[in-house]
Amino acid sequence: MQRSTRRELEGLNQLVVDAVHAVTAETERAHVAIARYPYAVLERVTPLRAPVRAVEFAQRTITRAVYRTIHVTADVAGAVFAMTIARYTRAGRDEP
Amino acid sequence: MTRSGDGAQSVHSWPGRGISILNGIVGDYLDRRVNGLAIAMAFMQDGRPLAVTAHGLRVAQPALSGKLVILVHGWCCNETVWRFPREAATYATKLQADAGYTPFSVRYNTGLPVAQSGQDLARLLRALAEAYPAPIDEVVLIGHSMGGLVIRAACHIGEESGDRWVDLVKRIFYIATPLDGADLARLAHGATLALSTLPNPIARLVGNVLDVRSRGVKDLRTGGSVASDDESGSASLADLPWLASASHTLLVGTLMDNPRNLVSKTLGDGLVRVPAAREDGAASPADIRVFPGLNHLQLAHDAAVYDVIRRLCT
Repeated sequence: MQRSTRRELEGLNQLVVDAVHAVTAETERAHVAIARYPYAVLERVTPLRAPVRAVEFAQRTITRAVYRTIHVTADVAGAVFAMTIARYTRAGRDEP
Repeated sequence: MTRSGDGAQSVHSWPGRGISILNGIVGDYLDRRVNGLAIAMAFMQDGRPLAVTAHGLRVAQPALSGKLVILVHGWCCNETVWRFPREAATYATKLQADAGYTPFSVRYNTGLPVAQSGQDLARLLRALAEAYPAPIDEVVLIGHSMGGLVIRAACHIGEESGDRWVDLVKRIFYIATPLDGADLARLAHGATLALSTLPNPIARLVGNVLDVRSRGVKDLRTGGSVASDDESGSASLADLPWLASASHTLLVGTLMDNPRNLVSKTLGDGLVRVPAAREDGAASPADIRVFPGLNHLQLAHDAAVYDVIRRLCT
């Protein structure tokens, strides 16, 4: 594999992982903001305030866990791909 | 930070073009992350960076003349944009054949701010002038689109630093260069601003995604700026004086065959409009050549455009 090709593959890997993190973070922010609307309305009804807050807390926890899983999966996939490139490079001759 | 280029990226392949497009869109981020996809500014030959040493130049160009022509491409492009359809020639290689110029073609990360690319170009031209193994009589600079802004910035920076190469620049061609900014870039800026301020999470999400675009493309809104000593710390390229030692020619196109057509007046070559004469005489109408029926990219490799360049250089 050419050194420049390896460098580009490593760069592409880094870019994809960074893009997944950025898009996931933005989507999570939008998701949380949209999900907040019904809770904000229901919270105004005094007897519902406590249960609504409990439900929102549970929903937020689950949402955060789902997005966290995406972040971790992206990191793991990126690391595996980086290791594959490194192993493939070691196995073959690295041309300038 | 700019990493040093040590390998070739195929000029003819789609990955090579894809990497240039990627650099245009998020090149400042790639540079910041020291990502392997970030392009380092270099003179290119056959898809490989040219070693700017006396030996490297002699090997690359067996017949070195005292007349140099340097091509600087535009946003999201690389040096392949200069190639005429169905032939390997560019304006520079044609000038070599017709007038004995030694051709050079620059590749750079078009996502970086224009000022930074200008600084890199000034540094590269300084290195070329120092390493060039023959006396240099004349340098011709040809910039397409953003490349023209990078040339403007490089000349200003070189002049401020007292670089020798600046005095050798005799002629500069700005092909489809948005010297006063591009409408499309202004539109993108307005849309991003509007979407980001709307009290809607989806609109804000779209606005934030749009805002990821590089500093380079954001500079196209105004035409770029360079560092200055005044209070604001920066000066717009559009307001800088033109390099006195060189003559300047603006080559612009229009989408329709009639340049007075409303579409031609509104859209110009699709991205850049024919500039209006400025009251301060910074770019007099005499310096502007209009090519009806040529779009933004066609202007980088067209026989009629070359004809004007050749006539002015010989």
